Amino acid sequence: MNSTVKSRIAIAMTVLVVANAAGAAFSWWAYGEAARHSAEARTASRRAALASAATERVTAWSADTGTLAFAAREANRSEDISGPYGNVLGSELAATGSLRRLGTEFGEDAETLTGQWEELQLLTYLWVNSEAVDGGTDIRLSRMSDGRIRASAESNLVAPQGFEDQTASQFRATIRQRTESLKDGTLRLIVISSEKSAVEAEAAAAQSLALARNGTIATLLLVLLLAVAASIWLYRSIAKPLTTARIFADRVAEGDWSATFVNHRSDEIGALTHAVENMKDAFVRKATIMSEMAGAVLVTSGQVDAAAKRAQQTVAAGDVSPADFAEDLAAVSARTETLTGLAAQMLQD
Amino acid sequence: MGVLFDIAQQVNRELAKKHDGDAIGLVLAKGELATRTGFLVTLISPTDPDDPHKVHALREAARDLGIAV
Repeated sequence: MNSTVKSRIAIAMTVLVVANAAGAAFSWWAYGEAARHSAEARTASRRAALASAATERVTAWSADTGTLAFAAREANRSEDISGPYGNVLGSELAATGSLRRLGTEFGEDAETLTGQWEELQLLTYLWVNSEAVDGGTDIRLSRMSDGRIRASAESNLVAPQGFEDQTASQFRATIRQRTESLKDGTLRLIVISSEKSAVEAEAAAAQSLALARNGTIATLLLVLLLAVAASIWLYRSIAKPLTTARIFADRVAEGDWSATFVNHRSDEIGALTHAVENMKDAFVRKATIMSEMAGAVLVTSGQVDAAAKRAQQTVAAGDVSPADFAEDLAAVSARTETLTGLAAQMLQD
Repeated sequence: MGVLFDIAQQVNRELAKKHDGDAIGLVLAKGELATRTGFLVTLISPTDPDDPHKVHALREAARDLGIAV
């Protein structure tokens, strides 16, 4: 790839950052899914628990109303039923609260739950009144304006259509059937569906968590792999050419002036190897010129030395000829002048 | 243009061949060539004009050194 070193580093860094970001985004999403499913599981468990609690409270209320019915049948005074009456008030409040919470917090079919519960309450309190009538007592249950029941001498409870002439035993049978319908039907269905939802949500949460964990590990491995690949790529495109340049410089330093680069990359490293090779060529040229100049100096000094020795021999022999002496001096001067000219050429280069 | 450079290249090659393995001999031969011609042969470039005096001097000096060009 004919890209610059700068762009290669940018590409490598971008790939690593993108891989990291993608991995982080995936992990964030998967952990978010796990958290969402966990929250769903907790909600479903709370819903099942609340439905179970409502079932228990309806059961408790049912037992309390049975006690109240028998107390009303046997009572001579209203004080005789105050205990059971109080228990019924309490258990009714608790059961009503649980059933309302199922409707408001979990979006259960509030109308069905409330309808079933209110009908059961009415029939039950009518049964209590019926038991009191059968027992010959004058205690009757009524509804106050705030919805609570109270014990009085007269009842304002109106029997639904079809229940006007029910006997106490008929009421008991109906109430048992309606109670079972509410507890073992509606509430039981809520418990079962909630527990199933909780199990499914927990499984989904575990699956998302495993996905997140595996995704994180896969991302780490991918980033590691990319980092290794990027390092190898950058090494090949940066360190390898630099190693080649070092080997070239070592060869030149060892005197191998014929050393050259096989090729130059078309990037910053290539520009550097070009510059290094140009520097070597300039250096070789200078060295060659200096070598030639050194040769000229050696040759000229040899010639001057020869002329000086000849002159010495002539003087020693006493055969001094001014013309020969002048000729030698002229030759020495000419060679020195030539040498000076060569030096000037070298210095001007 | 280029004749002087070509002759210089040829002389250099012949000298290198003649003094192969004798670095000092090559240096001395090139020095001899420079002192005979009056210019440094290494400095001749392809763009230098073909000065007839330089061409003649180079041929003569090469011949004196035993190189036919």
